[in-house]
Amino acid sequence: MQLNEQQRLRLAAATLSLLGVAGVKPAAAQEPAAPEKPWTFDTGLLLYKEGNGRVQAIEPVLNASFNLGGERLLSAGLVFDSLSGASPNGAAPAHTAQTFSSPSGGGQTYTTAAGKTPLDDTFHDQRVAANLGYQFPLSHDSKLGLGLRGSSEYDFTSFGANAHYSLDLNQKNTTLGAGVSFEYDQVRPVGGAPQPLSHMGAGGGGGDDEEGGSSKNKNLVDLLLGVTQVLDSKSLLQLNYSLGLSSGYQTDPYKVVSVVDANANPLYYLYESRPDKRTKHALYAEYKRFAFDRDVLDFSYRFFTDSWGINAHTLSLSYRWNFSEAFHLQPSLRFYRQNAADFYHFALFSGEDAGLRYASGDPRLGAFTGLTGGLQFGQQLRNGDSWNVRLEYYKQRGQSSDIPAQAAAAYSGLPTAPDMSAVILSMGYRFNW
Amino acid sequence: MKPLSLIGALLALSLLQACSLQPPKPWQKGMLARPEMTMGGDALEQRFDEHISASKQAASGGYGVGGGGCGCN
Repeated sequence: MQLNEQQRLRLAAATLSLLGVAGVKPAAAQEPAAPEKPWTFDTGLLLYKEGNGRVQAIEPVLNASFNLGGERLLSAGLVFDSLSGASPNGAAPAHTAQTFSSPSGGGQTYTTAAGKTPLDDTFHDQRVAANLGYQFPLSHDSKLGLGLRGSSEYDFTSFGANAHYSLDLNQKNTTLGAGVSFEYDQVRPVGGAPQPLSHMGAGGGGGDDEEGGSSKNKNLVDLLLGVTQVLDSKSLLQLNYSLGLSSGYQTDPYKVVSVVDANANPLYYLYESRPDKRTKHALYAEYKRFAFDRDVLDFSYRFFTDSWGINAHTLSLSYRWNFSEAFHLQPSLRFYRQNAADFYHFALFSGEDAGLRYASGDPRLGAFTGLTGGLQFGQQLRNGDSWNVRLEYYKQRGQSSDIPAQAAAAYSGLPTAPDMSAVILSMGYRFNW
Repeated sequence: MKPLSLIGALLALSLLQACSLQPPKPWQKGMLARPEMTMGGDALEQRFDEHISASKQAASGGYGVGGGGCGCN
C-alpha cells in the first residue's frame, strides 16, 4: 500500500513535469493548472482559555481562494475575535489590597486582593480582520504575491500591505524568497492616552486628556529574506532572516508600573512608557523530513533580538504520524524563552522614577519561559476535503527579575514570578468547490 | 548556550548534507510535493499560533510577512 502510494506520487510528479505544468516546487504542493473545483475554502475555529479567569478568546476564521488557472490565485479572508477576561495591569502585588482606576474612567475602580497579581478585569474586546491576496507567476521560475489587510477593534485600527517574491533556481531545488510589509496602526485609548510616566489618578480616567478621543499611531516595516533548499528526495531546509522596524506610539496605554517603599507598599502607580523606536531581528531555520516513507518530522528554531534588549529562543518540534492512508496524529512541542526588556521593572523603588524615560511592568516584557504541548488529529476524506482538531496546553513560568533590591526582602512570599497557563483548542475544515 | 550549539551543529550537518548529495531529479520529488511537506505547516494553524504568540510573547518575525495587526491586551 505504502509503495503504491509512493509510486503514484512519483508518477504524478513525473507526468506534471513532462507536461511542463509544474516542475515540483520544493516548498508546496502543486495543483493542476485548471482545476475542476477552482474554489478552496479554509474554515477554522480557535478557542483559547487562560487559567484563573484570565483572558479567553473565540476566533472563527474563513479563508477562500480562487484558482484562476496558470498558477494565479486570488484569496480573501475574514476573522472575528471575541476576547474577555482579566489581564495583568503591570502593577506589582502587595501585602495589602490595591485599588486602581478603570480605563473607562468616570471614577470607576477595581480592587486587587492582598498578595495577588493585579489584573484588570474590565477588559472586553471584539475584533474583525479581513485580508485580500493575489498571487501570480512573473516568469517560468518566479512568482509574486500581493496582499492587503485591515483590522478593527473598538480602540485599535490597523491597515497593512505586503508583497512576496520567490524565485526557483537550480532545477527548482533552491527557492529564494524576499518579502516586504507595511503596517499602519492607530490606537484610541479609552479615556484618552495617558501621559507616559504620569501618575495614575485615584479613581480618575486616563491622564492628561481624559475626555478621550486622543489617538496615537505607529508605523511598521518588515523585510524578509529566505532560502529553501531541497536536500534530498525526502528533506527540505529553510533559512530566513527578518528585520522589523517600528516607530510611533508603542506604549500600552492601560499598563502601569508600581512605585514602592522598602515594605513593598505601593506609594503610587505610573503609566508605563516605551521607546518610540524598535528594531527587531529574527533568524529562523526549519528542517522538514519525510520519514519512514509515511510520516513528517518538522523541526524549527528561531533566534530573536531587538533594540529593547530582548533576546528570545523558540524551538518547535512536531511529528506527523500518518498511521493510515486517511488519518494522522501529530504531537507537537514548542519551547520559548525570553529575557526582560531593558526598561522592564517589576516595580520601581521610591525615587528611582525621577529622571526615568522608559519603564514598563508589563509581564510580557519580563523574563519567562513558555512550553506548549499539543496533539492534533486529522482526516483526509475521499472527496479531497480534510479536517483536523488540535488540543494544546500552554504553561508559562515567570522568572523573578528587576525587583528593587531595597524591597526584595518584603517581596518574598508575594508572587513575583507568576505562572500562567492556557488551554487552546483549534479546528479546521478545508474543502474545494 | 547549549541549545544554540546543538542547533548550530544540526544546521551545519544539514548544510554539509546539501553540499555532498546530488539534488534529486523532478521525478524523485513526489514526497516533497505532499501538502504536509509545506514549510511552516498548515496556513490556518500557523496563523492561530502566530496570533497567540504575538499577543503573549515579545518575539515575532522570521516566518513571513503580513501578519500582526492587533492591539492585544
